[in-house]
Amino acid sequence: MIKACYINGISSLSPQSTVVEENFDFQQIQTFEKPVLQVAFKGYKKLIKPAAMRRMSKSVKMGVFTAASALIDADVKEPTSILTGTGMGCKQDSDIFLENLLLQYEELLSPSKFVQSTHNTVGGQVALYLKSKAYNFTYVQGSASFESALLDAQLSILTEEKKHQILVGGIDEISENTIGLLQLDQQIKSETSLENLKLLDYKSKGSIIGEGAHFFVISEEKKHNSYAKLLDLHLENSLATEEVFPKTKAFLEENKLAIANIDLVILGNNGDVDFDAYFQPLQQEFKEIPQVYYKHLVGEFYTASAFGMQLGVKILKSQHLPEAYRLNTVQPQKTIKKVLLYNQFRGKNHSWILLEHV
Amino acid sequence: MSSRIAITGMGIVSAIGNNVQENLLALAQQKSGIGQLELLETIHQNFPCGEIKLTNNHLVEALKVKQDETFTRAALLGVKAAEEALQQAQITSKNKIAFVNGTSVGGMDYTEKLYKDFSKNPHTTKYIEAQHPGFTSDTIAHHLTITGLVTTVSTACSSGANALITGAKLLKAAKAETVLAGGTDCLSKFTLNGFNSLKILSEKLCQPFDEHRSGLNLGEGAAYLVLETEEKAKAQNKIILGYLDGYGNANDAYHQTASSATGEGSFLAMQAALNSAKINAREVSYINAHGTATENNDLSEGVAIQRIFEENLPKISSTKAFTGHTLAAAGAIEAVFSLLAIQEQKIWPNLNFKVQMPELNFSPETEIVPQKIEKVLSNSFGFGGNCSSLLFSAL
Repeated sequence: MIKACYINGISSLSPQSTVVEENFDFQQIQTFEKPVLQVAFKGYKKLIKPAAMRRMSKSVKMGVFTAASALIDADVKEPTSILTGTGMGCKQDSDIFLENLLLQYEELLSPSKFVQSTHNTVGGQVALYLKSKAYNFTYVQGSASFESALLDAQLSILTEEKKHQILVGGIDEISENTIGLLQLDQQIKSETSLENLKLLDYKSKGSIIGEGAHFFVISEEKKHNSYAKLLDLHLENSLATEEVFPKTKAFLEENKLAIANIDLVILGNNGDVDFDAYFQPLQQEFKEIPQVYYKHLVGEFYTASAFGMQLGVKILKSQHLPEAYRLNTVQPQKTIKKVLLYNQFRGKNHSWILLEHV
Repeated sequence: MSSRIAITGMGIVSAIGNNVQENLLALAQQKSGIGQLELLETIHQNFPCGEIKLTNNHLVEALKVKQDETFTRAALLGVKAAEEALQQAQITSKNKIAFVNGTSVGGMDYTEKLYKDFSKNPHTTKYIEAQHPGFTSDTIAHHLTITGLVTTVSTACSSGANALITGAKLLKAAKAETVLAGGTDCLSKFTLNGFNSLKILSEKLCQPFDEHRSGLNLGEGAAYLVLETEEKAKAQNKIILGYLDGYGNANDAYHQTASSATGEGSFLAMQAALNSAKINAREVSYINAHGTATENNDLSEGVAIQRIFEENLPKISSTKAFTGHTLAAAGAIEAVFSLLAIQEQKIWPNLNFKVQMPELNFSPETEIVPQKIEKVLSNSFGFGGNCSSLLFSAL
């Protein structure tokens, strides 16, 4: 790979945000006693005019806000493309339109929820907010939705002879209407009282659910304040657990790296007793190096791994390993230079991301 | 490093046919597939649609779907079209193949059918996860034994075109050796009611680019292309159906669902497609327009076409009056029609057209026009201001 991808701006809204502060803090940890972790943030007014906000659903608000603040963070005015990933799109508005349709037997439906229901609504609304006519793609691929958008960012930099300032992000929201359905198909744990920090102790089916929006600004241009370099990423649609480690090794080899070159692993364990076995091979093979995880703090959602990447970027920048995120007790012996992320959901849509210190 | 993108296979299922040959025959006979709904259960029977008259049960049997697989209608249509494309391209090993799907409806057809039953009937719970579009792509990939890179573009009605763009970029960056890309969407109450609530469905057969056009007809279908680098296709002595030489995407940034009067997004998308193919507007022989027959689209697209081509307008037609607007599949279905135009050296007619729009200085072709076709521009525009344009070449 000749051209590099530098991460020059970030912004996060997650269940770890507070009412007033969007970006998560390593020290101040939000805790939950239920399996539904919502974004409590209320400070959208900082960047979005109230008149515009009235028509925005939560995912649009979260998406527009984090997109705008990532650009500010990177000191970029106009992105050259807007790439979004979302597992479910604007779930709340889709659910409301569907329920009205069923309840009213297809009569007298207002279009307002339908027009917001397409999966590229956030991408379109970010374009409207920024008045940006740039390339605008939305990917919807389960737990590889954000990674698909990130892949497009990498492809753009590799294949196009121009300068890029790519706005790339992942957005998903909880829809109150369908929490029951997620309990029914065992995506949500059935324990009535549940402490999120003990997520891996329950050894039961399902996980806790969350929501959030995360944007990054990526460019081939290195800046004095660049956060990190995106070395490479890789996707596999379906795998057996025993294939995870060989695929990981092959991905590292493609990038001329060995296991020993990795300084930190970030894993997507979500406490689902049926599927956390996918993370086991890497927990085992990388046991000599520090490991962190994050879904106990933000919940499971299709674009939760974008939080994972933002965590990796922040650790690379700060060289600090936050206690609440640690999956093992190994202390870093030297500068954390290379970070490997791996995630999957229910055995599908596996992703690997390699980040490097700059 | 930049090799041309060759198309070595195509597959399609639409209201005018269950494979490429049947679609070609219907185009040549000017036979529309739009008519009365027979399969979709809805109170809105007054809207003609491009419905594929194959039931899900029929498709399950024909495609030999296993009992434990969770198939949405979009997945069934998708597998049907994908198998035809892979067969034509003689793809046997699925190891190095990437699958880029376009869908917007995803599994909504099952969600709307089962929404009230999920809590009562445990056999239906496997369809809860099937609502999101990625699930439909996963199902198609699983059935085709594609296990590697699978992704889904969902940009409403430009999804299928955009999936082809992502596929081309994967090949150019050498992230895949072979790409299966296109789109699939089925009719659903959700979309029918959605478009009805926007009052853009017509109770008549749609009339793209006609002064008296009264809205669109929805359709359903799937189409996929097999994309490979020219070197690889030639090294393997494959028949090359055409090249995807250029593409462009831009955002209208005007309104969530409506297009701007100046067609800024479509103008920029077409311009980017011509630039990336490094060709002059005069070299385009035919435009397969988005032409949905809504008041707004045809005006905006028509103005944008005039801005790009000025006095040198190529032949133009919309094939929506054959298939209906197949949403996320439209860009892929029309990519197949563009390649068929190249193969047959014929321009497909714009059915139901009578009166030229006063705002435009062109009329679409209403009969089959045999002529030399070297380069075809295919437009797809969607909600969220999403505008895409693809440039296909014969040689």
